Amino acid sequence: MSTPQHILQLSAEQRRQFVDSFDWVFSDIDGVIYNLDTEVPNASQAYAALERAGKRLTYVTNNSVRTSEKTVRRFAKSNLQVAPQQIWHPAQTLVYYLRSIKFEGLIYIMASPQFKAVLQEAGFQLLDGPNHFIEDNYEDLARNIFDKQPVRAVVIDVDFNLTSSKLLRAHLYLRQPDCLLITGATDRLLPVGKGLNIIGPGAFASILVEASGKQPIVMGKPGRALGDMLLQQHNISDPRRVLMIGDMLAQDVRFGRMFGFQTLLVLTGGCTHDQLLAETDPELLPDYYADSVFDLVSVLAELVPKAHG
Amino acid sequence: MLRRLCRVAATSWRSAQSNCHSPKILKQLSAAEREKFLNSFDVVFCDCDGVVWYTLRDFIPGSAQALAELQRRGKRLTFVTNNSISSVAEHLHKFAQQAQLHVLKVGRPLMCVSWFVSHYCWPAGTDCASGAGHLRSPAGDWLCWADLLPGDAVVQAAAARCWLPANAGGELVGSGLLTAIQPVSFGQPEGVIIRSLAELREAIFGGEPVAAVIIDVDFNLTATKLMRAHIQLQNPNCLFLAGAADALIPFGDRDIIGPGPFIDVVAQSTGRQPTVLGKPGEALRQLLRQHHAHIPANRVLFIGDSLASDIGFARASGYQTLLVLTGGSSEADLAKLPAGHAQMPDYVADCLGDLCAKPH
Repeated sequence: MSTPQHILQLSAEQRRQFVDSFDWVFSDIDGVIYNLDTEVPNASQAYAALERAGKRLTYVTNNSVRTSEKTVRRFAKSNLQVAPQQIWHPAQTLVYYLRSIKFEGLIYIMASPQFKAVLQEAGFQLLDGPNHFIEDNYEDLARNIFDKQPVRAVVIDVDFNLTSSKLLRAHLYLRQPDCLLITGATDRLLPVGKGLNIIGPGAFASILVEASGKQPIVMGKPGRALGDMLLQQHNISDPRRVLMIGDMLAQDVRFGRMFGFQTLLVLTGGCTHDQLLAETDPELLPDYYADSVFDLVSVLAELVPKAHG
Repeated sequence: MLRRLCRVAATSWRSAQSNCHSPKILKQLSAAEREKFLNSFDVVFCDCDGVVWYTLRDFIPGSAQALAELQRRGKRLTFVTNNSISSVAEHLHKFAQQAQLHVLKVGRPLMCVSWFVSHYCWPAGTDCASGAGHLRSPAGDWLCWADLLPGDAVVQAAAARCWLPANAGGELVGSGLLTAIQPVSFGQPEGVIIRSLAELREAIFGGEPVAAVIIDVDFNLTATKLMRAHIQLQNPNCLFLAGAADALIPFGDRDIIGPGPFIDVVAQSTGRQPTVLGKPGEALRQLLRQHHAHIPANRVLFIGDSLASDIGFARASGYQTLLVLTGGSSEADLAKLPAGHAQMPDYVADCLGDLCAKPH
């Protein structure tokens, strides 16, 4: 187990080796390029530099609340030209996955309207609710959670209006042995500011995992199904040629390590330098780290002219 | 959780009755053994749902007769339920339907989570800091909650605002404590759909700070309520109280998710352990022990239908235990427990009515 190295502390030779060691970049978005309301200063310059260096970029986010179109527009404002196909989020990944297993049938879903729209546009049949107030008696609860429709998959991702009655209802569908449990974003805590977290969707998804005893099929990082599809869709045979950039140890770094990618942690989001130093789990330790993804600009700037010369 | 704890080993308790660690079957006791059993306890703690009646249905046949028999024999009978959906008054009304029962005439007949919470925040006889007057608990005599909390914390909880994302609010209103403990609704009004990040932010971060967070059964529990609780509990002085903590609740012929997993979400996110005032909470266990301060634990019988919430809970206090198979645990669940398991009951009955069935 080697200690993570700050990319600005690499020697000139190490920097060259680092830049030459990958062809693909899988990059997270929130906490790397944007935080909730603000942009990470000059982050877009790093991606422009990666593109100039001939790296192929794919954005892998756990955030399905922001649509691909919206992300493309926001990137464009920062002079980053990105095609919608370059953006992978759990809703989009789920469409690929359901098509790959030739899924048919009813889906009970707890997710944002944006997530549901992606599935509906792809032709899948959705069921949700209850979306109204439940009276304080067990009879009304029963009316709202017991349902005989043949649900073949339960999907849970970020839902601002998630309720306990939705989870109770989902748990009852999952009693059917052939009903799949599919989860999106896995984050148990979401950083929303300096030292401030809110409870994330992973905590709610885990209620269903525990209660049903089912292994979830995970569409967000660090899901195995997600990684398999990324490798397959991009025809990547050597995962060492992928650099995973992200701000979360449990999502981005773990995901990268699971698939043998190289990993670069940036300290602009959900992990502080102290937290990185305190981490002892080798599955959560990145190969490299940087204060910001912008640090890549200077690493690449010194090398790119030489590479072309 | 219950199922997982039970999935340990497959020893049939029927085939291993001679083993002293296996439960005795009530129906199979001889007349002399039955008398000995009935004389072996003075205090009875009895669960309600799945023992006295079904969650949605009526009295379980024979249960009222069995309770009347215990009262006839002079046992001190107290009901301990995790169900705060029905108020104490509704529970008592249900008992009153049975002519042979005299629950209303007993000193402290029924304890449920909301009652525990109101007394936890407001010890009997404590002067009210907000001027609502000198309050006494209906029972008035036997509980001293102040041991469980530093006195000033109690005053703070009672005098300041207390946030109740639970149906317990209704019970607190009913018990006349509302002027002191003010349930605060969270940023998002009931039934309103959150459509934007700004509205989400208001639901989580909006509103006034609270002195206590209480989680119990709430049919309209939302993710944002838990997210707000997480933020409020960043304040180390904010109390974290929980009621019923069952992982699963038997409901008709199946189990539904109970409040336990929702409490766990907040406990894990905050790294704080709640004071659990429902079964099988440690704080409640201490309170029950104060209820029979002068009677040794082995002279107490606990009757319940859940291996985890009733039997395991009671055994940790050294009580005798009787499992009835009319609720959350089946004969198969029991058969999976290895001999000597911490949730193994002393006695088993098909139903509470077996208590007064004629011996062979």
